[in-house]
Amino acid sequence: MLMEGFLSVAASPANIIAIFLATFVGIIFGAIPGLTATMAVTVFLPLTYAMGSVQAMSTLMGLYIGGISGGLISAILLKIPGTPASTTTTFDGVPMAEKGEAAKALGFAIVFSFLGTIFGLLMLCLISPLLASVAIKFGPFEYCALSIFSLSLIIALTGRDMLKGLIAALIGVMLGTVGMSSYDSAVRFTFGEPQLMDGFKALTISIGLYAVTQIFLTAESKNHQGDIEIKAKVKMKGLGFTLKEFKDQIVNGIISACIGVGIGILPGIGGGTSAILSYTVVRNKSKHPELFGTGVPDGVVASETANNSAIGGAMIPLLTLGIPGDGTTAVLLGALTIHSISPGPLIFEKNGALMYGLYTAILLSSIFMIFMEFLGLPFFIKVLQVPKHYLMPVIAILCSIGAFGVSNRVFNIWVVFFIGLAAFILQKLDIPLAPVILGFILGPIFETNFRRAEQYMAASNAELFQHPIAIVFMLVTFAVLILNMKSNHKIAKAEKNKNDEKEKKL
Amino acid sequence: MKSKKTAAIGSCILAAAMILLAGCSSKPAQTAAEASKTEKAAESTPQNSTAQENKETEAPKQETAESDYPKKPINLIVAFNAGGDTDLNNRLMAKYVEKELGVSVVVTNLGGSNGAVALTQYKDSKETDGYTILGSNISGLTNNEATGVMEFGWDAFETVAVFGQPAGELVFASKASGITSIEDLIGKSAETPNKIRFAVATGGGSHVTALAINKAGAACAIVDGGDGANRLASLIGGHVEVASIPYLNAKEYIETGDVVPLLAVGTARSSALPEVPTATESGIDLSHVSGYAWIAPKGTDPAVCKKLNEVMMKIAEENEDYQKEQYEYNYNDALVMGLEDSKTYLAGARESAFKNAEVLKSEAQK
Repeated sequence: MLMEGFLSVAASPANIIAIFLATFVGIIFGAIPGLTATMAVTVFLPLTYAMGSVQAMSTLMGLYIGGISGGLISAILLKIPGTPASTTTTFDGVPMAEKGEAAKALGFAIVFSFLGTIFGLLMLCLISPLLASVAIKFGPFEYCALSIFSLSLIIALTGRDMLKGLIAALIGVMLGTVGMSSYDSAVRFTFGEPQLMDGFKALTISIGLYAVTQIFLTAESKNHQGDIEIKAKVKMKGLGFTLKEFKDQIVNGIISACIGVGIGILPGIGGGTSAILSYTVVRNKSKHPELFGTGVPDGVVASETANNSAIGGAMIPLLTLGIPGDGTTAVLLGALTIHSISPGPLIFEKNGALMYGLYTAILLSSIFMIFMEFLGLPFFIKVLQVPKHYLMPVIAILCSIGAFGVSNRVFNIWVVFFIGLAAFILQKLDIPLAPVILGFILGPIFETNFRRAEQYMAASNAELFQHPIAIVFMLVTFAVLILNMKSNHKIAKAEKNKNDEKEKKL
Repeated sequence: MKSKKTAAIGSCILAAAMILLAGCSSKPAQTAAEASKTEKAAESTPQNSTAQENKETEAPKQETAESDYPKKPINLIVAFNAGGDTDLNNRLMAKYVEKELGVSVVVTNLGGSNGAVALTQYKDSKETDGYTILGSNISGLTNNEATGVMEFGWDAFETVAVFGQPAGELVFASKASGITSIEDLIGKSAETPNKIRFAVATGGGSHVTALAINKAGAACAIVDGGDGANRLASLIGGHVEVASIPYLNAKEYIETGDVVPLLAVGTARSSALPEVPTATESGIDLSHVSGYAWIAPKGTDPAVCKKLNEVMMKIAEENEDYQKEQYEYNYNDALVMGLEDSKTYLAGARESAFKNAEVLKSEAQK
């Protein structure tokens, strides 16, 4: 069965070409701000109807993998995450590019995207039933605790000004309450506007926050363009980094890959959160946390490894339980069912060959991805040489197309530009943007599960103490808070010492 | 400082101009994208040579018909998210309508709140040219009105067709709970009130089911479990003991024995599990109406609705591929109702929805 599945993909030129093209298109969708991996999969789904099940799933996997990985290109070069999952890549990728290390940042991001995908694939092949059984242990209490834990990471994203971080997160949570509640359909904060019933979408918020703000900032600095000139002459040597530099990142890569898979298997949490989580963990365990955000490869590695290994993670509950974790896997579930494959505990018995075919497709797609992105590197970097006054209007139009594509509504384009304008003001006030998107994603998850947990406690309050996983998460939350305060303290102290030394020298 | 301010104002004006531009340009861009999609779809059809032959032999007939509809791709807005039974049945129908009519049917999912998001948005839609069709299930068209989520129901749209006989929803117990039948559930939960948890979608059909079972003597704690896939996850994860889940979601777990079917909630026994009794047979006052429907914004040409209805009926009656494929989802014979039958069916469904809503309302008042 293994060979049969492997050969169904690897020995069929049509399938290989399909994966090749899909990965290519996926990278393009991922790299263009406004177009995402989910959109790539959704748009091309109808084209896969006419294909056989193996070819259809291979194509969709290629789009998914290419799409998630392609986001790193614009995240590093333009400071605009091409896909929401690569938001964290901007934290250190952009400062690296500004220092003239764009090639190194891209090199690290591409290689660790690849390694992350492969790690996710290995987990999917080897221990998916085990991981799936962990995933279903997550009920309302566990999700509730996990979302509190993830929200607490905001402290890590904001540096020393926690108040501003909390303001940003709260804005995100508030944006998440607009529209019909996912819990009981109560309509909230729509001010009678039917267009708002559906609430805001993660994509429109993310484009508004990052892409549109970037456009405004560029427009604002048009009179002193010299200041923002990024060193565009980048020479690519080998992979962009040395063997020693690579070795330094191996531990970071492994930690991030585990976090990626761990978050990926939990339906509804998603790749973006996994990237933020692993960034925070890697930063905390680092010997130089104060350098994060100033352009260290560790940050890029953490983010890109995690968001790609989350792909394998997200496939686990989809295939072995029939439960989709995010927008993309929901579409994949539809695709599977259309080809009469019911995901679930019996998928190996009933469609074993397809499963091995799928694994082969993931492997091939990640290999294509790493080659395409490295070969394309010189061209990607050329983007930096394009004058901003040509580049930004094009991005604005692409963002509009992307916003429209979310749900075929012109209204979403208005939302994107409104959010962009608001985010521009936030930036002027030095309020960080990442907590907004995190609050937006996690707020509704917290609310729904909090209210469910309340119902579970109807019989007795003792229920609260019967969930060890949830209790562990709450304890870890406290630990993270304390650790972060300590590391912030450490940074403050280090800077104070530096200032003192400077004063002494003077 | 001043130049900074003027730059800021300038950028705002620029932004506004861009927004306008984007607003204007989005429509042509969309049609261009659609056009390219049709081309691609056309390219991919050679694999389905039979479909194309059908199209060719039929083309002259269509031209002599009263209208030249359809001339361009049809947008099917599915009011539910991708991956669910409503999405699948709608997509499947779309796939065959596409082959039959020779134009793309572009399916877009606009899910949320049991379909209310899409239905509200398209209620007063001006897209009445017949190229915007909505795909929903019967519950979305009737329950939302009955529970007050929407102020309108199925009759705010032009009816195209009611179709599909889904395998329906059943009440399942987890293997770990040791519950084997509906009587067993009622007995055990009456002994230990609020101990047995029943996962439902708050305010949805499954909520009505749970209330009816409680009314019949059970004392389950009713908890929110989200959509079908998530209710399944909470059942097999051991978070709840009982849940109402669509057959399609639970299918694999019935085979493995992880979940035990107790009750079919439809008016008839489930064709997939004929040994499981219905609610009426078990003395539980419950009637859920199931199925899917295509509707169009009010004001859409009745001739267009009729034409689509006829095409759909033809597919259900004559197309063996459709019959076979839909059987794999629904475990039932293919069915598309005629225009008048569809309207009668929807009116009946509305009545039963209002009855169910009364049950929910009196529960909420408690």
